[in-house]
Amino acid sequence: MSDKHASHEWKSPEKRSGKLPPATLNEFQDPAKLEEPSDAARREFLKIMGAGAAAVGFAGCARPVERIVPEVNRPEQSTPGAKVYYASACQGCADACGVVVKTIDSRPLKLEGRKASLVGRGGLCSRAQAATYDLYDPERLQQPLVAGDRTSLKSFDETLLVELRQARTVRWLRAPYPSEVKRRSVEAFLASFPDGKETVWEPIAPDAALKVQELLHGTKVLPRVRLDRADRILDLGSDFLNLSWSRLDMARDFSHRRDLDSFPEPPRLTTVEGLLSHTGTNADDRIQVRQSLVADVGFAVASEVAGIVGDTDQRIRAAIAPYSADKVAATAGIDPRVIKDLAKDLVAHKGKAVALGAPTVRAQLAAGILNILLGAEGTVLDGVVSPSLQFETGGQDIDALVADLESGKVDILFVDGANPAYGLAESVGFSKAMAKAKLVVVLALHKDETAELARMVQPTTHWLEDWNVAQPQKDVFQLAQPTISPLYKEVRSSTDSLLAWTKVLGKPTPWNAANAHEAVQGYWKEVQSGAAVAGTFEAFWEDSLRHGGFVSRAVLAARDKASAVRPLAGKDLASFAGAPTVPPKGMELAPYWPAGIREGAQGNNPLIQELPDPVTKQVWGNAVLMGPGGAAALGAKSEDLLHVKVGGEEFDLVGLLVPGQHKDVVGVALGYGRTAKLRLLNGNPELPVWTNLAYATGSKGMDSKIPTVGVDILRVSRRESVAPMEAEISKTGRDGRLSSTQYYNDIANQEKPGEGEWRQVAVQVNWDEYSKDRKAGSPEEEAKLFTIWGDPKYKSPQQWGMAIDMNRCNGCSACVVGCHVENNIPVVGFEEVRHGRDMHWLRIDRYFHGELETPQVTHQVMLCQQCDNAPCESVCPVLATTHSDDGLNQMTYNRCIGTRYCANNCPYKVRHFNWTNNWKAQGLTDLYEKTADGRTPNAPLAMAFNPEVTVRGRGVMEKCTFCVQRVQDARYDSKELGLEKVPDGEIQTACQQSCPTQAIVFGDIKDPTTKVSKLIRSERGYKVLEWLQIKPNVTYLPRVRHTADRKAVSAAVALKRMEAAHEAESAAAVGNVPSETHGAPNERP
Amino acid sequence: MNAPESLRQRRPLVTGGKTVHDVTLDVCAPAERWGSMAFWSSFSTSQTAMFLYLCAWLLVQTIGLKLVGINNASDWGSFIVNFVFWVGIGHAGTLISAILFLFRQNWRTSINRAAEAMTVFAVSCAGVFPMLHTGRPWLAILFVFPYPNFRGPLWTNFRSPLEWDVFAVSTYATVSVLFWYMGMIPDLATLRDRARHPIRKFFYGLFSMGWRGSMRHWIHYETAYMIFAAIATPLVLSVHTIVSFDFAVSILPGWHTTIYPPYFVAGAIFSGFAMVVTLLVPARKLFHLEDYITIDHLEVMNKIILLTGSLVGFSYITEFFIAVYSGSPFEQFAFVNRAFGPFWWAYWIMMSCNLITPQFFWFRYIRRSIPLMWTLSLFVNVGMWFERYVIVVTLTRSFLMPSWGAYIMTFWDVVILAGSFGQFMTLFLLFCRVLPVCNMAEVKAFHPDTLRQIRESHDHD
Repeated sequence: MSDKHASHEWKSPEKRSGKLPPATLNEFQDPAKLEEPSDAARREFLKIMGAGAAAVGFAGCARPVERIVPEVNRPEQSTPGAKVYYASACQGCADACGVVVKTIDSRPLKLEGRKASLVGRGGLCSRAQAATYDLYDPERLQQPLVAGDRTSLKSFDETLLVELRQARTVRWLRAPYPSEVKRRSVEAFLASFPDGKETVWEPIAPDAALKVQELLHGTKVLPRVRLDRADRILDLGSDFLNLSWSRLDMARDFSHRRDLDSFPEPPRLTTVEGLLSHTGTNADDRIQVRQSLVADVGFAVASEVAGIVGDTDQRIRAAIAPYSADKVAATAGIDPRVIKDLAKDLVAHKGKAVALGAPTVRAQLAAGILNILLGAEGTVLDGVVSPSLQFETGGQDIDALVADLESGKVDILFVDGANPAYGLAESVGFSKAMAKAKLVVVLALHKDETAELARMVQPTTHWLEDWNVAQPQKDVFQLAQPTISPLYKEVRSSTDSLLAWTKVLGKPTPWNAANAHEAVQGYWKEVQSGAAVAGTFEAFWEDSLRHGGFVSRAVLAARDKASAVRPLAGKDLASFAGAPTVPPKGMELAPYWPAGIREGAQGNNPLIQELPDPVTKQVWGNAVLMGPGGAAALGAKSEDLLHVKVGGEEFDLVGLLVPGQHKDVVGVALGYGRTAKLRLLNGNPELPVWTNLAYATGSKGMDSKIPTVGVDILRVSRRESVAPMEAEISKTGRDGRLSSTQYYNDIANQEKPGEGEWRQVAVQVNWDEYSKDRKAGSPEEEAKLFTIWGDPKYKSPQQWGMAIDMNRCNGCSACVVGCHVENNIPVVGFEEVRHGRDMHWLRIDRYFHGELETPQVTHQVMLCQQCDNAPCESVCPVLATTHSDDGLNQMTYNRCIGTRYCANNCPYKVRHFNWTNNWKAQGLTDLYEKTADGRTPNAPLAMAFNPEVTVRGRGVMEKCTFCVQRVQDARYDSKELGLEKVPDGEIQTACQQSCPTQAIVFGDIKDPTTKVSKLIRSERGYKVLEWLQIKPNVTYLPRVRHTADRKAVSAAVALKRMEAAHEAESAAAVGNVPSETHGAPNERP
Repeated sequence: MNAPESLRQRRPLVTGGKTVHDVTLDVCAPAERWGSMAFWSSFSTSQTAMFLYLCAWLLVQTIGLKLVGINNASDWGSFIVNFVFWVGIGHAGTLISAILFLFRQNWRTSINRAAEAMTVFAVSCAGVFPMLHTGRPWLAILFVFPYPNFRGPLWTNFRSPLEWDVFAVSTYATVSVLFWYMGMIPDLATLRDRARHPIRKFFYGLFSMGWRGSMRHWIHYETAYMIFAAIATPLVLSVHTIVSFDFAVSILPGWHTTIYPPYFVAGAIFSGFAMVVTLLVPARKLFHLEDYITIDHLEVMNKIILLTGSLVGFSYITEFFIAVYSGSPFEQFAFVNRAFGPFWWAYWIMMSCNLITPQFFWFRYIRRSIPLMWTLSLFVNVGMWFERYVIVVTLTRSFLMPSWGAYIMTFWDVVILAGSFGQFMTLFLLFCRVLPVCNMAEVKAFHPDTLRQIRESHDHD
């Protein structure tokens, strides 16, 4: 043993901790004193000698001492297995929500929302939850590529420098992120060239909203939307829960406003849309019109509102003049009273009503005009005090960039963190234009579609390996710190690259920084001086790091007050509003951004691919979504293969019936059909474990060479990707295949009106009933029936339970991904999900209520209910599932033999069986399998595992444990602090932690003062299938829908009546046409 | 053995003017001859099926249960169906050998051996499934038995019906094997005595355990036989009762019903007798035993099929009535769903095969017609397999609608189902070739000649 390691051995706990007892014996005592004769008698002496001899003898019997020394090169200041949390800012999208990154042994393992952050406020979306799987993705680029060959960063830089020195026209295209460091680094770099310009672009960017803000108010600033102040929300196809800037805050505020304990009356969300969007599922009223008429309905409502409010600005009057309620209603085929009543209702809540538009200019304009008329400016919308800065507005727009590229003058095009070759509509012509640049340099995590077209590719770090800053809202400063050093040597963050190249070119870098860390510090000094924070920079820096950023108290105080009203700019609005739309005769195809995969950047992330869509519950691909009317017209049902002709292209795609969708609209999700050679998209031949997780749906006609997961609708979509297009759809007569976590092929039968309502599982009730009786709609309390088992008696002073407020939950599914990451839950792939073998411990059940054409949707989080009389426990022959002293239904994986009786007997079907070695399907058990050249390409995936949770193998049943590892952690901590009980709120399950709307509350239900106890005892609380007497411990609070009195009913009735009249009319016109052939699109003249 | 007086008036149990010595010759003949073409062709077919069966199991155990049709909605599938089916088949043998013995039904003598063999082989087929349907059979085989260990409270769970199954089925298998074997000892001695080849002599000698046919041997034999019959009798009722608990103890609508135990037992005997008919009709032809297993024997069995079939049919209707009467919408839905849901076809196969088919046996002509009864017995077998199928697939639509699913058997499900018949037939054909198919000793005891002798000796007294 060398001296270096001596400190790792220890003799006593005191010595180890460094707290030695005070010395009692001085080594160098006076020798005279030591030699003093002892008073001990001879017998005493013999006694001691004898005992000593015996002791020596015994010692001789002992085995020789073998010392083992753990972890020779243990890093300083680290405790193996201990959790360390770092505050940071998410860089998954431009929202820049605050996160806390949990690391164990220096590995980032779980991202959680940072409660104190003003953006995200403790919630986190599914995308951020899945970020660690992006970080450890084995297919990340590990070395720079020059003309397809692997090279080192050094030689890459040398090659690039030659080009840089000659370049005149340089373009830098990047994804938006409100980072001053990034912006100024790009600016400094581009200043090195005679013609350097930057473009900030992302597929789901609020370009239209920014444009309309400029039209209306003269500034390109997105307001901060404070939905907690809105009593009436008119959603003009915006899908704000999914697409808006700061969407987690929108969701949070909206849910908070729906909290029935905090507000006397819930708000009313009215959605105008043709598809059934994620936000539409949360609507109180839905007005179904063709997707192309959404903006028209918005303008019609505005003109009605203007009529009531009176005294309207001339420019607005001009814009809305052509849109009378009667005319628009006639075009849309709805009852004009729907629009009129809606306008009245909105005006009645002036100052507390807001309209949100779809990402198209006309819908945004309609919403903007409505907001001005309804006085939302300054109250619900804050465009002055602390507006959103999430989407940057400087530089060229993408069309100008394409024009530059087309002209052939661009010497170097840099693409940083964006994937325009995939994410930009084909009509924009980016890929073709890109080929005309002399050199394309892509800085990317993967070899994506754009990187495939580039000559030089520099791998970047994942954002969890990076320094960065963000200012998502005015005066809200966030700091992102790396939580792991880059996994690979030859990768570099784009900021580092920018600074390095600028330096090499001999130009000044911002803050004179050599790397991102210095730049971030330089910026932070500005933040300190800007906010006039006293003290040293080091103290401010460390404090900011600890808290993930900085917001001054003055800003905090000002944010909550009403904001100033922005004046109307002197622009012509009428030309943007245009004339009323004449909808296409046939079907229209509306592309939409889905909630899970969004723009497709995380296509190689298994958790995102297998995240069920909140509305369709589809995984691994997209489908042609048909409404019941549309399906009837096509004569098609779910899983029929449909042939779509749109925009000069043709393709086949499987159909899926979605109740509540307009009969003339079909929807196709964007974000699918990626062609990059990645494992989960269409197979990476370089990986030894070739996975079959993905099912390539192949798209005939679009690109027959490459089978893809889903179909890429961006190839035909317009510049505004969600703008509907006229399409011709027919049946191919063949069967398609789709994979969904809810019973897909019988969706219409299963969800017939009224069917299943008696089950009283997902309770929803209307506000007018609920306001009279708080127990309305809840199942009758049959649980009071006689039981021979009595109440359970738990030894522990605490018992765990959960309350889920379905009124807060919007079905966003972030919890599903959070649960996967926390508990090492495998994904199973297209085929296995199709066979009904998905592994989601926590799933979100979607229920339709009412009519097939006009359903109401309830999302219900379903997880193990930890029943006191758990039916799964009594049937297990080997006691693999038992009850803990604190009321948890626990699984002993090692004991489980997999009879699956427990899963049969579980009425909630929340137990999941490992039908095969699921992790192996992802290459995770063959971690060290080597390729011919000795690499272990799967290895990084293993780092994503949470070491606190067992990784289950084949043949084992698994289920939600209320995150027992977190419960136990909190219990140990409390015990160390000498507490008898874990304080309320100390334990947060993974699903609860990440819930952006705080719909899930977990805690001690024995103690009546805890938050969860109060919810459980609330009179609206009910338990699912309580009458079974199994005593579940998850309480649900019903969904209360604030439907307008009779309005939705009249809308639905009117719609039906008009449809019937229309059908009778056309039948009369054609003669006695048999009903089967009537309405088939290809038979129309 | 004392023959009751009443037998004098009955039709003789052995026809064709066979003497007592003919009994020995005819029964021993298959074991002493080279097998016929019919034998070898059916044997090789069965063995091929069994070989595929082993391959299929190997594959399923290597890759995982994802190869077969079960999923999260229906965690049990064809394996459990097969298990219950085979256990049920076994019941007829035990009923014939134990209950009919205790009730002094002397007609049982010529068929009890084959029926018991059927029991043993059916139970061996059944036993494979519950073990191999588990996720980790290598642990299951260890963990389900309550052996002493150091794991404290982690033992077996005596509250679980699956644990009751372990005891029920293992007891049943043990008792059936012992009963069958013990009853065979006198006949094995006959074969030993007739054997000329030393190897044959050795093995028959080994298994006949030194039987000499002395009076003392017979006294012990008959006492033991009586005791075994008494032990086996409750098993006829208990085993399938406990198997039915696998379903009835759950809380699922359509499973959680008190009618299951009697209905399962009736069903088991029903399917068992159908299987006996299915097997013996060709076997008596193949091994020339028509004079011992007479048309009268078959008719009696058909009467039992009629009785138990009617009981089963009555249970089906009762279930429906109770579902309506219970007022529980979940229960009502489960039964409506069985009849008109996605598995309606399975339900109506079950109903027509089990409820309608046995009713044909009201007619004496059909009861005594070999081709008709054989065809009907096949229908009953199919129907009883589907009965279990219908029960198991009730799983696909349980309480929460979003968790509903489908159950579709895969290729491997079908191979394993067919293969288990291969296992069964292989064993049964081997039995027919090497062991006495009829109980010679008992048949001789009730042979018309024996009875005449007894009567005469009585007359002398």
